[in-house]
Amino acid sequence: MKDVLKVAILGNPNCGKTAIFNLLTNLNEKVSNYPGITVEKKVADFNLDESKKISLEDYPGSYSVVSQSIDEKIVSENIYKWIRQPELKPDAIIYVADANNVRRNLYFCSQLLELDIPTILLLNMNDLLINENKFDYVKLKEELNILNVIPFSAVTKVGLDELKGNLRELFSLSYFKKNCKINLGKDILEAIIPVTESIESVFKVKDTFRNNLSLRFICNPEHLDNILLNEDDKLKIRNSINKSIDGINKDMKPLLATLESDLRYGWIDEVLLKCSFKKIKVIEKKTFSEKIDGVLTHSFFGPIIFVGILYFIFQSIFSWAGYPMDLIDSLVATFGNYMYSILPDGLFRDLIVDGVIAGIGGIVIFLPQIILLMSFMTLLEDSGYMTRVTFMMDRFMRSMGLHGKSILPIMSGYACAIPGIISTRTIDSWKERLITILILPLISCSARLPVYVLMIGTFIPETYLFGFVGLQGFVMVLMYFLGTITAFILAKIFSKVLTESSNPSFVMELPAYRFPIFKSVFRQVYNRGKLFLFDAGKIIMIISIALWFLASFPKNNFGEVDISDSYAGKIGKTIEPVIEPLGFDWKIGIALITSFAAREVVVSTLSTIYNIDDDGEDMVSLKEAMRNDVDEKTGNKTYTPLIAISLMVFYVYAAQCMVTFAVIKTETNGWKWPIFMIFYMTTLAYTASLLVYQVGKILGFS
Amino acid sequence: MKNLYKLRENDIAKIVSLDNKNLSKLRLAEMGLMPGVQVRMIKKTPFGGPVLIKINNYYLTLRKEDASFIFIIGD
Repeated sequence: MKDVLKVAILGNPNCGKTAIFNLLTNLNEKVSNYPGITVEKKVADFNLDESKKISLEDYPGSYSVVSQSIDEKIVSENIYKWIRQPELKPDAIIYVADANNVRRNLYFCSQLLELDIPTILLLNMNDLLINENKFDYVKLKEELNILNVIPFSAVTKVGLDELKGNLRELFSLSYFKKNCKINLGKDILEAIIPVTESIESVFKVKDTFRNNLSLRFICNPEHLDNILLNEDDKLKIRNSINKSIDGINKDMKPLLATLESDLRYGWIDEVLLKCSFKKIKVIEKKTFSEKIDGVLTHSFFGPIIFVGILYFIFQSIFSWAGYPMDLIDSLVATFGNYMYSILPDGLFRDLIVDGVIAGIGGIVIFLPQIILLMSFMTLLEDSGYMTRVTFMMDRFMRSMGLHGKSILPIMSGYACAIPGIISTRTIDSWKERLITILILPLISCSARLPVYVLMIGTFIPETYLFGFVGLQGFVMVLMYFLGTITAFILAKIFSKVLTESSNPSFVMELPAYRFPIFKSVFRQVYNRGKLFLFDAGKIIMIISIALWFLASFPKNNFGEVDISDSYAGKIGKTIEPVIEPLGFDWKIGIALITSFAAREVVVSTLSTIYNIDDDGEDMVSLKEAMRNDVDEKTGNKTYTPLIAISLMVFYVYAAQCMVTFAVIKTETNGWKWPIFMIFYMTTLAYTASLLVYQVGKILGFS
Repeated sequence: MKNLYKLRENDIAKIVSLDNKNLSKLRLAEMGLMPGVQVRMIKKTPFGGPVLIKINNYYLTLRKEDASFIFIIGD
């Protein structure tokens, strides 16, 4: 008997796998990777009883082992790994199916049943089951010969106890019967003998499963390109396929491509017929979802409603989040002052107040916005609305060189490019996926916001355009607009220039609308916030402390340091000649360098620089310090509104935040694309900033 | 023969054959689009955008590239 059982959750997209994963595991358990949208295997351990521990793996949704998108490929690769190395197989599979759509959901299930892994079939969303779709599920259990078939609901928790009971029984399960029942005709079997031989030697499988696997490769040899095998094995299979193809009747060939699905559906229909399943559905009937869609995907009102929702989301991020952000800001300042007053004068106090507290403040302040944006995104996704947006926007997005599914990554990009980049995996076409990744960092993420807020709040006057448009708000919108428009223009250019392979085929299922499950939404937002605080937080913290050190040393003979003589000052002054044409001085230079770790560091960098510079009794107000700062040589102000705009434009375009590029490296399999991006973004940032500053000066702005 | 992309909103037809490229043909079949199946056109988007159809008891979106290679007869 094992101590820990490995259980995999698999199923079609949008059937509620993640909700079930969240239902079984609890908040305190560790979940790896970026949550939000399941795009990679998620793993969490939980205890059924004291001694019974389960390691639960949540896989992305798939329709078939024959993968079409990157996330299906992840699932498919795992399945082939299980076939070749049976010791890696999970101890059980929880297959989640939509109770209202059993026939199609059983397709992928039938491919999994062949793996000889104990399977529990959950007929999820049982609370929404309509009469027409009811059938004898007890009979289905017998027919499929699997562990159990449970009518389930992640909302009402129907079936949860039964599922847990089944999981407990798994610990004493020693014998498992074969499920595999699809049999090929004799003539097909004879024709494919060369392939069955090569498949048997490569995958070490036998009998019916070997035959079915062979059939899959003969019918669609392209599938070989999508699985992980060494080239020798691939060649062996390819040669045997060519040998077999000659022996297949000419009239059969056009039917080959869909032979596997024809056979499987034939088998599924046979099984379901015995379970009193009604195959013929009345497709004239308008469902509730369809009626809602009449409005929400309306050619005219649909896009207007979508823009309205976007407006509401961004409005709330910028206005509602302001209150908790101000509160956090003042709490951090109060705490800093308090620590300053109780700690003894010296290096340690400086480190705590100027390094650590300033650093933590710079992280926590983003939390309200990230939480708000993630909550909205999760709600839109879980309710089923995002797939409608994908459908409505596909035509427009394609005309810009993107894909309907690029919408979600781009929207995530306003919070943070990283989860956005990872969620591009659902895009079925490599070219459009690559372009989405290439332009994503141009979308102003929440890390740029504090830079905009600081610069606008300090240097843009609180006046009104035409008497009613606030100038500050207008400039802010302009910065977001600039990044977004540039992203779309570049996408169009990339789509003309790049010669990567593109897949115009795109079939998507629109799930029924449903109320999001609170626990599941909360869980996803919580994980996202936690990851941000601790993963991004670690980097920001280290930078803050390193920066404090660079700005505080070397001390002069009096034990004091003038920032311009510090290590940081020297670095800033070294790059000053390069950035001077953009209007930036060496202090901004330091901030630009630290921004390579994360953009939001700029605020804490400037805070650190000015705190140390002023050497004051109190934490000085950064805004005041920046407004009053003058160039020692010329006596001119260091910052002017024009310089502030030049700096913001630089931040709109610049390749900073190295974590993003590390993620892109993994997602695009190499340094080629990240290096290209760093190059094009830096060029863009420098040129745009240069234009703003130099043309602005000529026009007489200051 | 008429292709699926030409079907008008709310009209119902029966699939006769699929003439798509291999892998997309397989995916369409896996999603349940196969000869003999009834389809209802739910929504067409303007400017040659994707269409929304209903088969069995679920909804699928198809791009013009896929839909125009699926052949149908009136029901």
